[in-house]
Amino acid sequence: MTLIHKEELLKIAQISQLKLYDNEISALTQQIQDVLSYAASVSKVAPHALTHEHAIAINIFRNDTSAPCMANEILKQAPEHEHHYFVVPKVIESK
Amino acid sequence: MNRLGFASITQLQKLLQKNEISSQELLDYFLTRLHKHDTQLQSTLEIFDAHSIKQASASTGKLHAIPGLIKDNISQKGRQLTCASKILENFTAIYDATAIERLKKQGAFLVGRANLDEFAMGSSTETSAYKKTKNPWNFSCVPGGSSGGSVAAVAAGLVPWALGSETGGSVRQPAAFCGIVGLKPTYGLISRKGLVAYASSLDQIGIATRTVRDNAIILSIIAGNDAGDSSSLPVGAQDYTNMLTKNIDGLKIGIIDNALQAEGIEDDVKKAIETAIKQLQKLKIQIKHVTIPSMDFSAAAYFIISRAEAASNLARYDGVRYGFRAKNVSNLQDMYAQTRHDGFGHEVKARIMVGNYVLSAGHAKDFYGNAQKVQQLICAEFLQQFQQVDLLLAPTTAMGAFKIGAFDANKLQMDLQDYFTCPVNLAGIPAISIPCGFTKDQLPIGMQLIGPRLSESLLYAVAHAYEQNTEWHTMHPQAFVD
Repeated sequence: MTLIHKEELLKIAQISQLKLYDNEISALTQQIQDVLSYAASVSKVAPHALTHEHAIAINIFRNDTSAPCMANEILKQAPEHEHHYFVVPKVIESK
Repeated sequence: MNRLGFASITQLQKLLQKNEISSQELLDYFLTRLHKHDTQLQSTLEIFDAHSIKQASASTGKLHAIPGLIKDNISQKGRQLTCASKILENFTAIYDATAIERLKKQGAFLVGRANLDEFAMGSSTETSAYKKTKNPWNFSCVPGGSSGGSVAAVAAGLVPWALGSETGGSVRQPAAFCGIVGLKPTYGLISRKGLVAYASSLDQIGIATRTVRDNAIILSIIAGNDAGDSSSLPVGAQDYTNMLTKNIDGLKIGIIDNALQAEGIEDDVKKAIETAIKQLQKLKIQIKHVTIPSMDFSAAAYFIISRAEAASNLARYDGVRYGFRAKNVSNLQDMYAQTRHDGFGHEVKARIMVGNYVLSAGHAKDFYGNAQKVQQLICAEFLQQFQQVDLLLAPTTAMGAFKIGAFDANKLQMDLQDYFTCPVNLAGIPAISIPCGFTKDQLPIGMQLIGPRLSESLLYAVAHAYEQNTEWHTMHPQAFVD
C-alpha cells in the first residue's frame, strides 16, 4: 500500500508548478493515493516480464531544411509581448 | 429530408451525385439540425458558420460536402483550440493537423469543435471546463469519454462522422456507450501532427461513425505516412473500403475469456457478447477461447505511463507564450504556479501530480520501470495469441453508460473505465468497437474486435459482416428521430 502524506503531496505540487490551497489538499491526496495504490500492482507481475525483447526503438531522421517561420502569429497569441519578445513578470524581485 | 440525419456517407454522396440535394442544402440541413438539437445534447463547443466552413475546404474531392465534427484537441487553422480547458480558452490554432489538411483537401465540411474531457483526460466528458455532454439514449447518462462530444453527435445523427482521439479507450468506450462504431487505429497509422499531446507514446486520432463502411471511408482519407510526425509509420494511403466484403469463412477469432469473466462485468453485457459470438459462428467464423493474463494489470501500467507522459507534455502550459495567464502575481515562479492552478481542472492536476510522483527519484523504478515491463508483457501476450488466431474479441466496457455524477466520489472507478480498452493502446495495435445489443435500461452495449498491427482491413471486414447481419446500426435514439 503506497501512502502519500501531505508534505509529499506539496512537494509533488511544487515540482509540478502547481499552487494548491488548503481546501484542495484532502480531495487530491485521496484521489492520488487511490490511483497509486492501484497502480502499485505492476510490481506483482513485472519481475517475470520480459525486458527489451519486444521494445521497438528506432531513430527517425529528416533533412535539416528551413521552413517559413510563424513567429508573428505565435507572438500574437502571447498573453503579453513587446517587439519580438514574450513579456513575463519579474524573475528576481528587488528588495 | 427527415431521413438525412441518419443517412450514411455513401447515401449522402449518392444524393449529391444525382443532384437530388445540393452541397449548400446539405450543409444547411445539418447546421440547422445541430443548432436545434445541441442545446440539449451539448456535444459541441462551437458550431461554425456556413460561409467559413465552405471557405476552409476544397470545392471537390472524395468527401466533398460531407459534414463532420472534430474533437477540440485537433488543430483546425484559424479556429479556437481549447482542449476543453480554461488554460487554452483564447488559443487559436495556427496550422491544420495533418488529418484535417487531408480532410479539407478532399472537400469535407468541418462544421465545428466537439466537447471532450479536459485534455482528453476522463471517461465521461464531465471534466470539460465548458459543458457536460449528454448520452443521446438517456439524457441523465454520460456519453462516455473522452471523445464524448464527437461520439454523441454522430449517434444523435447531428453529423455522419467525427474525429476523436484515443489514449486509453477514448473513442471505443463512448462508441460503446452511444451505440456506434469507433476505431482506434494502429499506433502511427494516422499522423499525430496537430493532435494536442496527452501521452505521446499512446495517443492516436480515432474515428466515430454509425456504420463500418463510413469508418473505412474516413480512414482511407486520413491514414498514411506524414513527415510531420516522426512516429508515423511508413504506410501509404489505401482504400480501406475495398476489403469490406472480403471472404471471412474459416477466420479464427479468440474470445478473451478473462475479460468476459472479469469482476464487475454486467450480465447484460455478458449475454450480448455471448449472442454476438453465436452470430459470428453463423458467419462461419471459428471461435477459440484464449486468455491474456496481463490484461488484468494493464490499467495499472496504463495509469503510470499515461500520467508520466502527461506530466511532461503539460509542462508547456505555463502562461508565458499562449493561453491563459493568472493576474496579480508577484514574480515569474508565482505566475507559473497560479496560472496552472487556475487554468487546469481538478482531474488534470491530479494526473500531472501522479505523473511527477511515479517519475520522481525513489519511485520511478517501482512505478514507471515496472509499468514499462508490464507493457512489454502485454505486447508479448498479444503477439503470441495472434500466432493462433486472426483477431481477438472482448467487451468494450463492463457496463452500459452510467449516470452523470455517478463517480464523483470515486474517481478510481471512473479511471477503471479503461480496463478493457487500454491494453490495446499499450500494445499499439488496432481495435474497433461495434454495437452488439442493449441493456435492460435500453442503453447500448459494444464489443471490440482487436487485431495485430495494421490489420484494419480485416477488422473492418469482420465488423462489416457482423453489422450487415444484425440490426443494431439501424437503431437510433428516439429523441433525435424527427
